[in-house]
Amino acid sequence: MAGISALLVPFTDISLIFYVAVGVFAGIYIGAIPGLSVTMAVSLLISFTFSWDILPALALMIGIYTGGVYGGSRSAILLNIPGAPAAVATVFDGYPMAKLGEAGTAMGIATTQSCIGQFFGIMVMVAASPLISSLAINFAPRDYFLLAIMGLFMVGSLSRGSLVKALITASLGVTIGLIGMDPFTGQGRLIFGNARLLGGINFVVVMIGLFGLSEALVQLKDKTQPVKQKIDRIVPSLKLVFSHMALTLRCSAIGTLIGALPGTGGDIAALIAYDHAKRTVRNPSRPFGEGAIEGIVAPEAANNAAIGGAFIPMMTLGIPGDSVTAILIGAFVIHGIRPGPMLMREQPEYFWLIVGCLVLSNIFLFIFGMTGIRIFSKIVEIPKAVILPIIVILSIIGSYTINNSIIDIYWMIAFGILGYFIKIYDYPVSTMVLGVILSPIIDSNFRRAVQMTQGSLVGFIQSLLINPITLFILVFIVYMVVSQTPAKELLVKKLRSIKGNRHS
Amino acid sequence: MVPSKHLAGEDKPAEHLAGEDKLSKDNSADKPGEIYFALFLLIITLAFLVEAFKLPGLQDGSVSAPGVVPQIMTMAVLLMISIVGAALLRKGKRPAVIAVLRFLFSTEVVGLLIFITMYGFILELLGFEISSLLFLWVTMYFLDRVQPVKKLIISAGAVGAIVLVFGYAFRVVLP
Repeated sequence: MAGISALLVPFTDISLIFYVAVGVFAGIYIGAIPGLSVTMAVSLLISFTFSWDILPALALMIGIYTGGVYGGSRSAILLNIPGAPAAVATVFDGYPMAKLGEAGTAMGIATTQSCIGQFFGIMVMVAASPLISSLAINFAPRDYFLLAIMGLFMVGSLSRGSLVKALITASLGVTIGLIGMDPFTGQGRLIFGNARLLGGINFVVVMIGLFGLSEALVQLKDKTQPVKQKIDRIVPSLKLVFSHMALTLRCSAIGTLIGALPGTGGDIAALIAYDHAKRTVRNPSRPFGEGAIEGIVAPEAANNAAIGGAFIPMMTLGIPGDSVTAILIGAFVIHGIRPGPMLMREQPEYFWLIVGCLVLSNIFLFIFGMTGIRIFSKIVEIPKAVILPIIVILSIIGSYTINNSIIDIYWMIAFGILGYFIKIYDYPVSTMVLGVILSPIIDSNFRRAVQMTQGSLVGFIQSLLINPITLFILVFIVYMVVSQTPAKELLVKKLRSIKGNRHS
Repeated sequence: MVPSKHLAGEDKPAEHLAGEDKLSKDNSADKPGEIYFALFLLIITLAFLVEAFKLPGLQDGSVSAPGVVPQIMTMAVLLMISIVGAALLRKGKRPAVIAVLRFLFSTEVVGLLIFITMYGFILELLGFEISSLLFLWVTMYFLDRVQPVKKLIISAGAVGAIVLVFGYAFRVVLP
């Protein structure tokens, strides 16, 4: 429990309270406006908070993360458009509730469930992180290499659509992340003879292009229009909240677990929780899909619970739980700190500071979540013709401020156009970003691991098989890959037929 | 019920939960020109592959050399693009280039790309404030050709807010 006193720092430092509050407030609106994603906002913030101290920067980003995951539910309920990926399952019953004139109630339920879910996730994070961290201290480079590979496969296997396409963008991301000077030998890699590329392409520039500009282009192509809505009653009764507490806690547990898996986030958690609610709730308030309260309770508890879960692998293993924590790792690295077991051991105060900021952001989430709903409904109605050019300007400022370089603006535009094509043809973008971020972890740990076996590939493979931790991770990766391919279906069918033959 | 519109900033909404055949599932079957995009990715990857093999790596029998990971990754991408490309070729749909360009580039998208490029050029000539004001006003008016004066006021307000928040409050160096 070293460094636990840092837990109180966000509550006693007025500037941190301010940054968390501003972050949550801004996050709710960013998450709610289709076209502005939390990932995009946090990646833009990295560049803006580049020269700040780490604490205010973290406080602001955590606030935005919390608010953004929740904020998506508002446009999901009001407009039938999930403002953020985590709100994808909230539309199923949220919008039907709005059509029945219960938009305010739906948003009130979404707020309370998000707060309870997030608190649950934080508690699990506090309980589980030190244990995982003490285990991770024994990890060797080969284990980190496998964990990074696991992160890539997680995203690939759980992204919607083609697994091959997910792996293509992930591998391309890793390749892009390798451009520049080799950290071991100082040699230029993949630079096409251009010395300007020796510094590599900054991953923040890649992210802003892929998430920011490309989204503006896609929105223009799809001609998404804002819709006007009426707002009614907001605060749900305590009776209503407590009557669904069992489902809330179950879905919070699902959300935390899904969030803790590297590469998965609130969107997957919300979908699985919604599926769970549909399977287990026998007497919903209305049929699912027609405005069932349980259809909001489940995904909203799960997606915010996933936040605490996502911080577990980030803080303990140094690998991202989702795309936002991937960017937060980048923010840490920019400020000279590398999350992982050594950070948990040597500077545990950062862990407790994050926990403190998360708790504080949860309080502000409740305050801001229950207020400003009427004003909010006006902001989401901002026409695309106004909001999209502003997104472009923010993307340009964000990419320029990394190195104060105009060249970075052109890189951002190039990745924006690439991201546009990628999205149009249903290749996932987030896997490419994770690939860029995981790239140095994969490269350096693989080469270190091979060097530890005197450069022998056979020795490296043996080392994967004879070490218990490594073998466990390896088996898990194999299971993950197999379970997401037709091989699993074939295996299950085969086993069932064998079982059937035995019975007959 | 599945949302009709796409998500912000991320991937498309799920039309199913886990358990389906993810390897073969592909939502873009009816989107023209994917084969050309696959070809574009193939060319890029080939360029990276050639560049990767200029580095010491697998061809030298070394597993920890600087070129090993780039070589493995580019070969993996090449293999996977070949799988996607082969599947697309089997479908046999090869729309005309004009049809593909029409599908990809609406007037609004082309306009925005042109304005962004021009903005990049005038940024160094006119400075951030004036070029941003011009970019915002022209783009807003281009996307919705009504109320030019109102859009000019909104643009000026947005540039003012950006300069105030980022330039003064966050002390960010603006382009």
